[in-house]
Amino acid sequence: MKQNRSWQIILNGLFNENPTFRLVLGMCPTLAITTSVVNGLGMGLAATFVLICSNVFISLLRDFIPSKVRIPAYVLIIATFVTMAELLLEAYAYSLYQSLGVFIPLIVVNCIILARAESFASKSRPWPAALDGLGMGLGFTGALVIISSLRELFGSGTILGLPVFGEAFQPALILVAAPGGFITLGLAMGLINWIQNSRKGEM
Amino acid sequence: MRNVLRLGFRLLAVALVAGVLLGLTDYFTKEPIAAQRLRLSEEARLQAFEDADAFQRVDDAALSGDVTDIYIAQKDGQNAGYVVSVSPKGYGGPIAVTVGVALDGTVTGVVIGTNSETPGLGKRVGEPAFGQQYVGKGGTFSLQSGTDSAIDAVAGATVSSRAVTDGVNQALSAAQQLAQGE
Repeated sequence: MKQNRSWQIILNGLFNENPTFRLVLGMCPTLAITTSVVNGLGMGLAATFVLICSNVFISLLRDFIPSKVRIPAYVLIIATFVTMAELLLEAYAYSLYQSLGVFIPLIVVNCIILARAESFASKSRPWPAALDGLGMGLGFTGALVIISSLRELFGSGTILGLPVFGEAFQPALILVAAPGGFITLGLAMGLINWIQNSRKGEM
Repeated sequence: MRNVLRLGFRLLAVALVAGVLLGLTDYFTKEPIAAQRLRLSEEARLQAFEDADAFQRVDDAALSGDVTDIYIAQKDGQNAGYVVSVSPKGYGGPIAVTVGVALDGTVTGVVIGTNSETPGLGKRVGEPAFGQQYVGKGGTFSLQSGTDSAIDAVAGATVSSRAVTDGVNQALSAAQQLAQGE
């Protein structure tokens, strides 16, 4: 496969089809965990890992799984994989489990993974499927980091837990609470669409 | 009809492999995970009662409410207090709380363990600043301000804060009951 196309698949997940801002997938974990940058990063990386693996597995099994029962088969594969990852992490990589542990069960219900299995991995060879998982995962991670930095910065006045503003700063607590998630996500999505639209206008 | 069977068998095959893989993983990780958890609960007890050098489980303790385990904290072979494990119900299920209680009925430490609270909100009860509020005080803790035993709830996480406070209160009364019984 050409180098060019590999990059295209990765960049597609990062920008053109960014799972959060363009495909609007995985909103539930996005809203729930973007209260701090550490959480956003942890969730993003854990989801990237599962995405790559599930994409490869589903791509390998694409001729074996009949299309009529593909959804239960995919859910089964993803859930099995996530559970195994959780058990192995807890048993052999405890410090990693402590920082990622809370996100792992959330990944099972992350619809980005099912969506990529359905729309990409089931029609592709394993290598492009892995690249798609990587691109989508990094796109998801990037979006989570953007939203969570905004929420952490203005909601608690810190970045990665370190205070940024002086003592006098009154954090806007609403940003860390659930409504703040909707507000920040909406504004960020609007801003990104506006930038992309105005770029198109120039061309 | 034949098609239905074919579909069913394919799905069965996937499920079978998944089941075997899960079973094997569980079989091999069961012991390391149990060891991890044991080590973790021991560490939590030591954190909750820093002065102690040994803990002895009270096997015949009458457990009530959310209390799951009571240990006697010992120092130089003498009883120095109690460590009580409670698991009050938080926003996302039980929160494992380990409370150290000195002989005079004051709290020596509150350690938050495994929980499923919301990251960034309820999970913040696990931050040292929150647990530190209980230390050195006794009586009945409440989230209402104005009393000596008032606890500042984590902003946006009243349910989780209340659960931990409730758990600490239960731990205190469990320790008191045990002390009186002796």
